[in-house]
Amino acid sequence: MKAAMKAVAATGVGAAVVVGRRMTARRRALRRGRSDHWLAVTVDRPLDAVTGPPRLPGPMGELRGRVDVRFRPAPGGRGTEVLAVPKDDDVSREDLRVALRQMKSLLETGTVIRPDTPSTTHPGPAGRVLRAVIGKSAGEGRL
Amino acid sequence: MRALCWEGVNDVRVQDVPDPKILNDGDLILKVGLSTACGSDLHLLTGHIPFMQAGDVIGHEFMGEVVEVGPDVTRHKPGDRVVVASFIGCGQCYYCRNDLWSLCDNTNTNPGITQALWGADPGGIFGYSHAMGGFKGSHAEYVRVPFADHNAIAIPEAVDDLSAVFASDSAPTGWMGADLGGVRPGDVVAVWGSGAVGQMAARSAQLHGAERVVVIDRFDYRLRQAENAFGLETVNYEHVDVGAALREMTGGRGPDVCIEAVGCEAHSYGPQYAYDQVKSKLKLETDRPIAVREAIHNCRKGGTVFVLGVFSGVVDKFPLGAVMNKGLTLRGAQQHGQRYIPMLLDRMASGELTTTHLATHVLPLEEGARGYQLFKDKEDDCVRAVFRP
Ligand SMILES: NC(=O)c1ccc[n+]([C@@H]2O[C@H](COP(=O)([O-])OP(=O)(O)OC[C@H]3O[C@@H](n4cnc5c(N)ncnc54)[C@H](O)[C@@H]3O)[C@@H](O)[C@H]2O)c1
Ligand SMILES: [Zn+2]
Ligand SMILES: [Zn+2]
Repeated sequence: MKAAMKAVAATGVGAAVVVGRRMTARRRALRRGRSDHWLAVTVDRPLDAVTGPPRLPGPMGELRGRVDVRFRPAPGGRGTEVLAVPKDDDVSREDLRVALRQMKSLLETGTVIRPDTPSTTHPGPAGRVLRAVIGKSAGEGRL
Repeated sequence: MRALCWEGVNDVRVQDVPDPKILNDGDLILKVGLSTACGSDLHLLTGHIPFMQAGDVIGHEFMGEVVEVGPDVTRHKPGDRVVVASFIGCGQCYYCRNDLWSLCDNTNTNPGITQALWGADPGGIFGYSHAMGGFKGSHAEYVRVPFADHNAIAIPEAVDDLSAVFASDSAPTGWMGADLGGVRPGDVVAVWGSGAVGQMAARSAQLHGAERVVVIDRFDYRLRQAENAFGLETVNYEHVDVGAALREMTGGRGPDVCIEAVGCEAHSYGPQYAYDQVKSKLKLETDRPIAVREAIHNCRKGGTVFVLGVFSGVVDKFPLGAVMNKGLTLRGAQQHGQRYIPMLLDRMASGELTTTHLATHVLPLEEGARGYQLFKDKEDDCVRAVFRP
């Protein structure tokens, strides 16, 4: 992932450089041991709708028992905050991030939007590098 | 099917690509009737938005006929004539429910990229890079439309295809600039850029009751369109000092609302143009905010500057002091089409909002590359190249 980000950055495009730096900075911070904060999403539904059935739909259900989960109403009646953290190294924060996002989408829309794949039949060398970055993108981010 | 693909910087070509399929139950498949080039595509062509792969289908402003619907689609059926919003909304997250559709939480399939870049991911767009979800674009015979009940909007019979296609993106973008820019009756409004987006913003300002609306550009043929189609005042910055003209026009105050409809490849004759070009070559800035700077500088004290032009990253020499000391409101957004499209279609039907003059070049899709060349280089008085697959 890091090598892929660097290669995208090496195409010399400013925005990609910024993205690469941010993602690298985040990983460095994680290595320094700042990885124990809870990952959080806000679901635009009331607390009872989120904690009632289907409780933790999608891949969140599969992580049951291996992650700690907390629910709390968002301020101003703006839905429900769902916070989660892996109990041990078995669950990666990337997988948990994907699971939280998919759970949110399932609770709000009943589905998870699927990307148009394969997006292209001939991505080219730069496109293949970008593809590697995209492959990880769902598990990355600030969540 | 045939589709116009991004193949590299300044290289687009029509290719054979796989037909789209229904992937979610709320999808529909649209047979594209018309699909127009947009100024935003130029940022992809020039490589300002680097998250493209060779072979990506571009195009995001379009209308057509429904040919297939997924089992969850209730508002459309095969045969319906619809226009599709360029941004994909889910219709059910906090942002969609608050009419901020381009900020949808659930439609960007690659959220990590823009979260790293901007701190949060906006919604997905058709044909607008993998940073924005990697969805296939509309310069094609067919396109998949996710969450179709929310993103496809029926076109009233009284509105023809060529009018309706601009209800997808440029008209709602322009309307949003006037609406969220807070244009009020009696205001003086200045709009930078006399492309489709700038003209739509200026017309929308008139329809919000602005007393004087002036459009700024350097291409006379575009300014003439603004004058003839909507009776707008114009300033050609090639011949006239924009600041002096605006002060004269407003009794020295400056415009109440300034709308920027130019974007990150803004042009100018001053030394700042060379400065910005060098900085962007050295990767010290990604975008050239020339018109934004001018709008901020010339806006009246306490006024509003609305940025409709697309920017992707960081800019230099940003006049923060003017924003702060003049008490300005600075705002921008990608367009919240679903909020405005039905109303805009009604205005098109009533003749209040005309758009067909923007389609200076209607071409078969096979001439996509030529269309983009005309549009990019502003040749043959091109305002928009519209493709008919
Ligand atoms: N916010 C949104 O959702 C949204 C939607 C569509 C388009 N856009 C953006 O709006 C912008 C305009 O789109 P368009 O299709 O009209 O593009 P366009 O290229 O047809 O028009 C841009 C116009 O700006 C003029 N211009 C360049 N530098 C200028 C300057 N310094 N001062 C005044 N005018 C200047 C050009 O001569 C041109 O006529 C683009 O940046 C596009 O990406 C934003
Ligand atoms: Zn556009
Ligand atoms: Zn949404």
